[in-house]
Amino acid sequence: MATRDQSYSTLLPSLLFLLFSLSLLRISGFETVVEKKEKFSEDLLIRPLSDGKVLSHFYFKNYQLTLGSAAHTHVFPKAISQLVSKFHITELELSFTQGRWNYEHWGGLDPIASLNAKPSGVELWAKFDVPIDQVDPTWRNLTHALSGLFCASINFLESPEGVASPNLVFGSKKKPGSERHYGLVRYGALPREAVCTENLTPWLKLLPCRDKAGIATLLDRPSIYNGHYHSLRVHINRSGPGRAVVLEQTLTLVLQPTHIRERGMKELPHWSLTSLFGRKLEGKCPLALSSHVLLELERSLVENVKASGGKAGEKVTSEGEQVDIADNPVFHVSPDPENVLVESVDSGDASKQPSLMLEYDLQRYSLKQPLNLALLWRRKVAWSSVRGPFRVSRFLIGSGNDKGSIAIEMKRNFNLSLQDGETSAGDFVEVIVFQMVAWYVRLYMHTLMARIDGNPVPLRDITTEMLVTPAEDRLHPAVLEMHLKLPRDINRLCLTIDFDKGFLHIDEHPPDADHGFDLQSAFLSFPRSQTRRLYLNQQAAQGEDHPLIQTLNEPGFLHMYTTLLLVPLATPDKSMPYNVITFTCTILALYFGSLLNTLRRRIGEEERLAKAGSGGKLKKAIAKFMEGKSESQKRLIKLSGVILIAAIGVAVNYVLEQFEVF
Amino acid sequence: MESETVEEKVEKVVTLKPRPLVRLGRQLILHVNSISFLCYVAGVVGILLLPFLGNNTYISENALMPGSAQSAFNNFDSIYARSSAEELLELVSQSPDVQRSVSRWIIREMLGVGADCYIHPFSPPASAYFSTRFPRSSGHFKWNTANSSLGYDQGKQTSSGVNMVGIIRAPQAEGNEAVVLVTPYDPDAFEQENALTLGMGAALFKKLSQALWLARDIVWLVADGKYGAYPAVASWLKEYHSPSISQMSTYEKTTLDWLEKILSQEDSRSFEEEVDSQTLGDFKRAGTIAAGLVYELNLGLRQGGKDTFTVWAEGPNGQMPNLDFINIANSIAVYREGLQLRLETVHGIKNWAWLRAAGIFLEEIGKYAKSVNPSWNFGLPAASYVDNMATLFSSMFFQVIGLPTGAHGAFRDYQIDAITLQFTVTNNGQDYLIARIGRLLEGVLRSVNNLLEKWHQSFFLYFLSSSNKYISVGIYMIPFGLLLLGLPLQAAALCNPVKQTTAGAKDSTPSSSKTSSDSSGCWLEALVLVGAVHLWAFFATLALFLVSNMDSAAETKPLTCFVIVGLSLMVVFLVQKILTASLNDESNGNGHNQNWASVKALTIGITCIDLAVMSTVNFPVALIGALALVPMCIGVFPIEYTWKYGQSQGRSALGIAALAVGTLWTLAVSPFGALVMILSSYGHLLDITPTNVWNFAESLLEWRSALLPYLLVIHLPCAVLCSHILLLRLPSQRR
Repeated sequence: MATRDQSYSTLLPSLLFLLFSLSLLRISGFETVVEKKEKFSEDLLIRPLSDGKVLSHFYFKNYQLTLGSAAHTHVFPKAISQLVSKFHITELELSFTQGRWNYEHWGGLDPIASLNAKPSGVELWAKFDVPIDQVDPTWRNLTHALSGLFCASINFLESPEGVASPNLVFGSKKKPGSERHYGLVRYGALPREAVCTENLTPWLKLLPCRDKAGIATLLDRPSIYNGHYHSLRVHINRSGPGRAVVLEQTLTLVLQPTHIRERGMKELPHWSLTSLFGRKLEGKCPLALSSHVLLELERSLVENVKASGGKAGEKVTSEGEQVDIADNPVFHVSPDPENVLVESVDSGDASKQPSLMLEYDLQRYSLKQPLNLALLWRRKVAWSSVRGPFRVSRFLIGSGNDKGSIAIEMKRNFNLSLQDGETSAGDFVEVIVFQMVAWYVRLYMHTLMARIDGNPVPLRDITTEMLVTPAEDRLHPAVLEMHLKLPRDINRLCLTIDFDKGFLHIDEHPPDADHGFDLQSAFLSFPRSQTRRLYLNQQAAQGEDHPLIQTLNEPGFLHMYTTLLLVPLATPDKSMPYNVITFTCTILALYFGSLLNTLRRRIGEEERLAKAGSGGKLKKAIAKFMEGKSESQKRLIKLSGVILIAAIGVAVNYVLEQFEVF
Repeated sequence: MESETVEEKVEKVVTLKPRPLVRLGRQLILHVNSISFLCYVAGVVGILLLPFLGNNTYISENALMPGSAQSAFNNFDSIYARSSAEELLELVSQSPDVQRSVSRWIIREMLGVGADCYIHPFSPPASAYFSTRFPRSSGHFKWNTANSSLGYDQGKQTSSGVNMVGIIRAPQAEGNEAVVLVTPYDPDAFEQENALTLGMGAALFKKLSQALWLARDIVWLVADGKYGAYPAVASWLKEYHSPSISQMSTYEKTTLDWLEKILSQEDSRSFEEEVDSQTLGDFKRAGTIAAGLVYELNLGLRQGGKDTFTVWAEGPNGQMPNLDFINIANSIAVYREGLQLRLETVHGIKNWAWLRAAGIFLEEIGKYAKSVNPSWNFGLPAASYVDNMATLFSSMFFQVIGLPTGAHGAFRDYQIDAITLQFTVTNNGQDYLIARIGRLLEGVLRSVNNLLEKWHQSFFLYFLSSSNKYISVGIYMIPFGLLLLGLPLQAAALCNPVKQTTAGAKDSTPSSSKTSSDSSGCWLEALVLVGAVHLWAFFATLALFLVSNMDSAAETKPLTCFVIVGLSLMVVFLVQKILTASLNDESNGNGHNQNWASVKALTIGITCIDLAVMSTVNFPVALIGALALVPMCIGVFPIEYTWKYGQSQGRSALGIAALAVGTLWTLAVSPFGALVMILSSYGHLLDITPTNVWNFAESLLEWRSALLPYLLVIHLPCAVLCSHILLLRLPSQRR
């Protein structure tokens, strides 16, 4: 697929350009119509992280009002609209991820982390608008279509042994656990799928400007694949009002600005767009309605800045007075932002500083005056991103090929009460745990045990809802969905469940079976932890121009994924089939040989033969020859016979060597 | 064979000709004594020939690709390592609490490179015997039981140890596998060696944190060697793999205490700011552990003008890590860094005169063979032969005792391959050598990182005779099989005594001349006797286990155990006598005529099976057992029988010599004989007192060494039964 792309693009660049310019013409001609029916916008959010890395979040939003069967589209990718109409998709999310999201250092309780921290490999879930008996065939067809569209082995998700039908999580933006999906949602993940440019290229093809103009020009392949986190995401939603199709394409990167770092934590590295991506921004995509670059400064950092420049006594008001937020003792941002958005902190805590969003409109930049956003640290500050209420880890207990248990451990971060303040309506914490386990890891459901702060707690005391699908060999995985209500002062929750390892057929092993088998990430959702980050916008009418800000402003809930686990299963030693075959065959031959021998023997017959004194003619001749000779003569004859045979052997050997037969 | 058949034909013997297999068996039994003697000799010779039979090592797993990438560790890093070591030494000299300052320094280093960091407190090992120090560079195997128990009593158990752990998360990986790098240090004797080891670790860790090639997480475990490196690593691995979830609260409390101790101090305001103490107590994991690499830097002199390092690989009960692991260390060291890999030998083996003599003899044979045919080139110089044998014997010696030779042994309990590398650095700063060591370690880690599977290629069952020669299981089992072959043959010969049909037997068969009429009765008696003695042996093992768990004083324990074992032996023989008597009453009551041949056959059979089973548990133990037990089992005869044979007409000098050797060997291998021998030859070297022997046995029990079951379950009953046979009276020939 990738090679085809390349040849396509090399062979027909001129034609492409022609088409491109044609479509440009068309849009300029029918602008009013387009604006109503299809909308496209692009945004880039950059956030410095506390460990010196930089988070960049590319956000492309495509909107199509109506979905005709053969309708012509202007900006909206036709492949997606066909996909949506053919498979009756209500909502779909597909992500390709490399690396792991670090919830401790990069934050957890904000919309970007909650929506874009995905498990390694490929994850796909979809919600369908078809009768319930049609869901599975539709899912199968969808996986094949997506597999072709994104050049990935998503088609492996067609087999039901890796697909779950979650009821409480995924498939809606509503509060998790508040409604059931009744079998309309399918979820699958391929943890070991490698993510590379061959997935990025088709993803870029869905954009109207591809990476030829606008924000996507920054996507320099070597730099974006060298980072610490790379997550490509496609989200299709048709559940909104009027059943318009909304396509969100995001790419979330965490990059290390420079690889050479000073010793210790002495300095934070400077960065700029050129140092991160090797490119500058030379204007927007002409087809985009809006195109913004946003630099987000988290509240903990802003607090630090205020503390450092406290003497000056500036204030950031909602009017956005140009205080030296772009140029202060801690850091310097260039160029100056056009606009500063301030987060509204609705709790009465006056000491709390709001997060800030520095805004750059790409309309002002062009080839002659490119945007090269840069941040220079003037001194080292220690701040931290907003963490989620819990640190979640999942691990295996036991080792080797023995049976073991899976443990999911949640530890409260110390700042729980602060973070959760806005939604602390009740005196308990809600968690939904979703865990899918392949059939060859055989769970013993009755051993599911919960411990709160080390003390075993009966499950019925803390669960409001528990949906369990037991696994069936080679048919479908075990799925565990638990809706837990935990006491508010909980420090640690530990869920454990024992498992046993199944045996696979010889043809069921993957090519590198000795690597072990991956267990999909567990998914945790916290319905009471809001991730919304409400940025006040002084020009409220502009709201439509800021799709990314809109997304941040939407109410969302905290989601977390655990890391993958590796389960070693007993694997056949495929390097020694020859030994095994020869061994087995020898034993079989010995066994059957002696068995047949025993069966075939007749004692009476043998005795008769022995009496008859039968023997070979040679033997008889020898016996006749020997007759009448004395004992010493016999010995002499025998000895001479042996010597004769040996001499013949030596002679043959000599002749062969002499004439170099071999 | 052919002549015999022809003869039969000629004589027209109209008897049923036996099957070839039966005839073969008959021949074997006829010549059983010479065959078993030859087998034993061949086995011993086979062991001596092992260095010739070894193959050159090679890297079996292609994915490892050792040394294919340029190591990034350079001279700046080695300077960093040295300066870190100096900084550490200065810190330690200023502060009264060594552990605290070292811990703070390590935490700062780990967090500085952006790694996850935590502390892992562990309680001291339950028994003093866990703190057995391992052989260090000098090669002295120190049991140290007395010293360690002394230190144990001084109230050390009140202070728990604390490991520091840092995890580099591989930037682009899924994070479900990890490689562990272990650097032990001793806070009670913190010297330059420790500082250098830790400085090296810090430099390496910093280098690895910048690597983008990581496919597995790197865990740096700074093991608190207060009680030896092994308990620290073992307790960390235990917490990693099977945490006691029910006792999590106590664990958390100790962690918090330690954190308080390490962090909150007078001058630590700035430190608190840097360190995010919140997650420092969390026990973090990094997925399945794929391999472990322990290393230490020692100060010392260069040996033989070469920079060398030592590899320790023997795990508990002689389990070895994958051969490829040692191979990659060897190949990177030799071909990339110009370092020489050395295998440790037990002091003194190289001076054994008979070994030298064997070496010279074999060298001469090799020379002779080469002169006959130049393509027969299997000769080995005597010196290198002695070296190879010494390495082989040392490895066997470490495996016989069944204790791991270092902290890597703790990994083996979880089926993880691990080795210890021990480097020697000269005192007057050799930065280039440190850079080489760093590159070697980085290369090994990178090579292990390349392998995205568990180790399954190459060998797990092998001995190394030198750094690039190995002897695989297929070869070293041959001498063992030869040694053991005599036993089943002898047992068969005793069961089915075959008389020489042809007149003029050359060898007088010492097999029992009488074919007992009531064979079932004597077999039952023999079975009762052998069964009773084996039951007693099991009981003795159990007694040792129970007594060692008792709360009584350490001095009385050996006596108690001895008394129990002795009394039970008496009881066993009493019971056996009664049972035999009752059996005899029921059958024919012809008095006490225990058939020594059946007892011997049963003893031989059971010993053979025991040794074969033991060879799969711990091969060197089984090998030494076979060397000692086979001549005893084969050569034991009642003294009365020997006496009568010596006076009979058909005696021969060979037969008398064989019987004498058998009797003497039996006496020597029996428990008392062995004790006397050890006391007379090594009494001045080892301090053998009942307490020390008891401590040794208890430490073997603690380490679950296979030597103890061998001694108690295989050797002891076999020796007792053979002594019993020696003393048996022959049944009166004249009824």
